Amino acid sequence: MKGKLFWDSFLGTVFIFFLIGVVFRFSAFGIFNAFDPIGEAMSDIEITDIVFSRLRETPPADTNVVLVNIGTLPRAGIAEEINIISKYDPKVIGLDCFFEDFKDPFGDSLLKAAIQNAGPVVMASRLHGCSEAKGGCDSLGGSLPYFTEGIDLGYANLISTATSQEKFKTNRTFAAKVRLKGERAEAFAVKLARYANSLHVQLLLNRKYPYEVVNFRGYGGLGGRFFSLDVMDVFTENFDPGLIKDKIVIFGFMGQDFSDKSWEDKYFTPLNPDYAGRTNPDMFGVTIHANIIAMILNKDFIGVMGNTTSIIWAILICFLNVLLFNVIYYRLPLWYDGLTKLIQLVEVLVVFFIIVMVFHYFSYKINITLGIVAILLAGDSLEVYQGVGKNTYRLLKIRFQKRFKL
Amino acid sequence: MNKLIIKVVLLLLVSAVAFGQGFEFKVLASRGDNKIKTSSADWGPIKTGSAIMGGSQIEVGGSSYLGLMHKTGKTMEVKTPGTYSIDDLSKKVMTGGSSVASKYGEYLLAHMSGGGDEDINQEKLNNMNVTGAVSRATDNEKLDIIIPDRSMLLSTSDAFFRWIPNPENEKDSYVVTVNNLLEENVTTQTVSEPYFDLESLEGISIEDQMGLIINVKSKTDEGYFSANYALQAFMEPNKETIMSELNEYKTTLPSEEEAMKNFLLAMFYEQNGLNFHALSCYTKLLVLEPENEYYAASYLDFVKRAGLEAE
Repeated sequence: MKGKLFWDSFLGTVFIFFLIGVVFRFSAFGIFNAFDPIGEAMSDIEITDIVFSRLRETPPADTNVVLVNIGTLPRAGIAEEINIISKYDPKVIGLDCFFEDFKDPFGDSLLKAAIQNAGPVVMASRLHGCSEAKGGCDSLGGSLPYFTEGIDLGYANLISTATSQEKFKTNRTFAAKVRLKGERAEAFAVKLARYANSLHVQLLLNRKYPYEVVNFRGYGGLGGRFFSLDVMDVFTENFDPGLIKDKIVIFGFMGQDFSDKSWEDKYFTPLNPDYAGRTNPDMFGVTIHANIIAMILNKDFIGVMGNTTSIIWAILICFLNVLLFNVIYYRLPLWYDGLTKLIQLVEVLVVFFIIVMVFHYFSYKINITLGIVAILLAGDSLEVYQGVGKNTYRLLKIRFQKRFKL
Repeated sequence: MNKLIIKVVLLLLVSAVAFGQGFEFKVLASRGDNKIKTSSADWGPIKTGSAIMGGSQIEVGGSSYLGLMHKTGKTMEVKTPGTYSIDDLSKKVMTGGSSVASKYGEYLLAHMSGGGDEDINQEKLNNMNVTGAVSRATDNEKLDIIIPDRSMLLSTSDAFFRWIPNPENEKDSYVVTVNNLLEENVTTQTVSEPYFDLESLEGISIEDQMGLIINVKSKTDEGYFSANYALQAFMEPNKETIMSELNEYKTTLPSEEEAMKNFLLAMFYEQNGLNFHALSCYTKLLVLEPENEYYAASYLDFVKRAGLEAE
């Protein structure tokens, strides 16, 4: 009996995964998508987005990074901001902005002089010609060599489905390093973090993940978790002198001023309070870099379950469910529908709870979507297996035996 | 032995005092008119990054914002104008927040009981905050003076305004009438260009006049005239502070770079809610550097914020 139960459950599990495969194939034709606004809205969220935006305990503010808003200042204005900030001995200045052509000789020369005289500076650059097929990128562009001569560069590219800067952009992950013409290039935030703690940077680079999940801490500017200086704060030097000393200071666009609700250079991130459907982008690119730096310096890295582990867990969860449901099927057939539905509901809630708690306490992202689908399909699919699958098999077996007179 | 014990106890006491002198909060971000009063100093401005000790008080002004980081790393925002005790804020920070498990439970309950997204049509009276209309002046006054709504006048410096020229007559002249709020005439001048600088009103005290009412009409075209535009005198309690900051700020501005000077002044004025003066500086800026894209973009953004229509 136990052996029969085991094989029955094994075959039931295979059947369920077969069904999942069929449904996936069918849905791959996109037949349902045209009538699925919910699916469209939900297609760009992950379970852990809900943790970031609604469930986790609020992380503490980070004191390693100071954000400076460049607003819509001309180059002479940015030069003046750099001159003012560099007086206060920051550890390093990061410029999350591109100066891609010449504007006016006066402003350009002021800016170049300010960058050269500011002490350690890292400027953002842009990767070009990246593809998985090539296993790397072709070149690094961004600001004119006039401004970047002798200056450390870090690519500011973030992982997003957007194909160009003005499109809808979501960000959850970044690549800490890429191959660039046979050598290793590092991300802008990684380069900046090196100045504060090269050991932590090395720990990050030694990890086995091809990409890293950003452990978002919070926003900059008003309502943020980073020290932030608006344009006027810098020009009037309306800040404590100790704020800047030995800190990583990143200059970037955060609106005309902090009250500006501009969408320019804003991304959708998991911190967005409206995590599904139509909403406003919530975080400036410069603040994403600040979050990455905070993650590195605090060693708040997030682990991600690999695909193989995910599949193994899904099979195991499915098998155990099928085993349990088979016991109910044979021993309590009248209770089968109700009990299995109840068990599935409770299981899904428990699994989500475990995902949330593991992510919050261990910074580990469990990828168990396949397992959840298997749980949800197990009850009804097993009935189909028992009623249609096994009976079809018996019928075919009898006919085969009659045909070949066995 | 006794001396050693006394020394150890004294050392521990000193350490306790030393460690107890840490900050309660630090300022993450500040906007507007925010002040701090400590046990050893009277009210003064708050700076971003500054440490706030226990026993202090803070004052948040109107339309102001203060982002604070508690010594534990927790953050809080203070947006409602008023005076706050740092010790009270510290207690509030420490008692706030709930665990992940309880948040998960609340989240599930909220969604199970349908408390997530209400049907706005069933509660239409609670969801009718926006209109599909825009504001327009009456049709009789065809001449538009470009002045932001509810403009306040700090002084006659950086108080330059312009209007849309007569489309029927490019070479038109205009009669500018300036009255005080009691409708007593301050000045009436004829100008040949579509702008006027209040700096020409020498010796006028804006407070005595309580404000100015401006009217412009075409000298040749009876049908081309403006409505009355009021510029109320800026009489807020922080007026002296702003004047003092402005005068000090002007001494730090680059004297050779007129455009940059006006740009920075525009931001100063706007930050202090003085949009009329900000617009004046932007206007001068565009006259000085008409080809500069940054300045043009800044002007357009300012126009949107001030509720003006861009030309």
